[in-house]
Amino acid sequence: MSGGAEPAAPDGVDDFGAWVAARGGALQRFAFLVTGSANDAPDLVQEALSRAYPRWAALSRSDTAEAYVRRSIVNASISGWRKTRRLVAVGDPAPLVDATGHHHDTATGVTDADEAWRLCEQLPPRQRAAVVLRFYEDLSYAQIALVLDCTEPTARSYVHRALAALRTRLAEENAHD
Amino acid sequence: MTDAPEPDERAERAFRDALTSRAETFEPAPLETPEARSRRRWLPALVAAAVLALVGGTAVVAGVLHDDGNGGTHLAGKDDLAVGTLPAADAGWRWVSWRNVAVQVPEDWALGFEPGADWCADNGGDPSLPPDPYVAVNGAGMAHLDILCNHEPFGWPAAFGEAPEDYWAPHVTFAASGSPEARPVGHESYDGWESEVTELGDGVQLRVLGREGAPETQRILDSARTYETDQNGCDTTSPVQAVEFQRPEPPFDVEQVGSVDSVSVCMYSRATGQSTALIGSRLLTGDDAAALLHGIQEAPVGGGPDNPSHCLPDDYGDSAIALHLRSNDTTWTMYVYYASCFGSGFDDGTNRRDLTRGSCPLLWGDTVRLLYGDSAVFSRCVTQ
Repeated sequence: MSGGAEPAAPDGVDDFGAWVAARGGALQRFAFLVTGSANDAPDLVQEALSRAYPRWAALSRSDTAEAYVRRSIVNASISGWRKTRRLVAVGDPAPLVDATGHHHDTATGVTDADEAWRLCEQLPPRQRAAVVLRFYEDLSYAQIALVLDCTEPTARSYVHRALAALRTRLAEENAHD
Repeated sequence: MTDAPEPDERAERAFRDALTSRAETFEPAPLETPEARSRRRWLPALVAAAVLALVGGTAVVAGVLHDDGNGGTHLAGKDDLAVGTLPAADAGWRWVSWRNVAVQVPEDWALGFEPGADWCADNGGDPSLPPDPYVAVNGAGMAHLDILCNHEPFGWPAAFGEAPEDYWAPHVTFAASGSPEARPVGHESYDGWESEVTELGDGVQLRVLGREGAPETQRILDSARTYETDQNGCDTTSPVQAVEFQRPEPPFDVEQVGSVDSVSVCMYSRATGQSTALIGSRLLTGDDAAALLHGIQEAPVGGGPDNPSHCLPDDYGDSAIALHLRSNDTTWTMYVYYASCFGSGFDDGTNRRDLTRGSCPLLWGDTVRLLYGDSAVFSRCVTQ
């Protein structure tokens, strides 16, 4: 965007288009990390943008557009998760193994990051979103609370519980090595 | 020699590495800016043009419902609309409101709670059925059992919620758009029922569930409007909705108030992040108003009950109340804090007073509900 003195279009339409151009990629990555689906991510963002557009003037003025769109994405991912949470993707045996209470395949090459991603895939959407916002987007707990429409202690609790769960898994991995 | 990372540091790094590496595998797709679609889909005939009503000489514009490009509707041009006090409801109907959106419902609709994801929880053998019909009290922040009642994807549209059909009854619900309580916007039908989910005002989702073809459903939807002051004398915004504790301005001494004609009890969410935060209200008059004033005046100065060790230092609670004491032409405003484990009490700006059994229980009723808080507060504020 140039910093020239071009007047803004009515309704902030130009602003909205520029904002989408600037933030669309990052929002899709966020949606991808929250859902794990490269197919669903663009649709979720598109849907969230459709909801944001009618209230763009207010969102832009209050500087809450990003939080609003992210919240819409998380909310939509919850709806999807409710419908499909009992479905286990073929080719991803980890959830099945977890459901039995047994340890993961101890094949070599499983890194901490692999373990972390497996855990992410099994977290409920709001907790998973909190983890993504904290460790990928580097947001503060106050900012996470704003996106998730919860209190700051709740946001902190989501992240700390996820860390505790991963810590336990990594310790178990070590014990089996 | 290098020390092994601490467990938390290792877990944190693992999350960062995992998310960064996965994000790098993703290729964003081109996005369509929805402006063109939204403009095309304006439905001027969807609802009548802006409804102008004269209330106390003030022009009140209820707004125009527009397609929002997502199958739903919303009040357009909110920022340009004048809004005021809700007018008298139609005969046999009453206003129910949340944040800055109100609708009229039949007078005999009770208040209740919409069954949630824990609808199957054991309740002593009886299912927790809501009233039939009812207005759902927003239970955001209320404790829910962390159990999975739906073992298979349910067959009905998500707009109908997770509870099965036995738990359905005609009702109205408000929720924050984009919140966990929100549902997909639009019209859905299922097995003789219809659900309308729409978004209005300041990010408010209005849901109406009814039996297919029931005339009340459309009448409720048609009555939807925004407002600034509700039927109980409560504004949609208040300084008390700030996350940190506030003190009322101007300060006064409640002990010096001789009598009151009415008390507006206005409950505000402090967790919405939205400008309008009114989530419950009621109006006390006559003996009820006098009893509350007397109870507050009798409460010891100091504030409480508090148990600071029961929660985190920055957990100020998720809601608070503004009390407007009215006598003739004078209005005094007090704040009431009760939702944390510290800072509890009535505050007139001069003194903080305890929540007592002679005062606190009188606050609750209608949509002003004590849904969560410290046990010490419950022991004084809930009579049973």
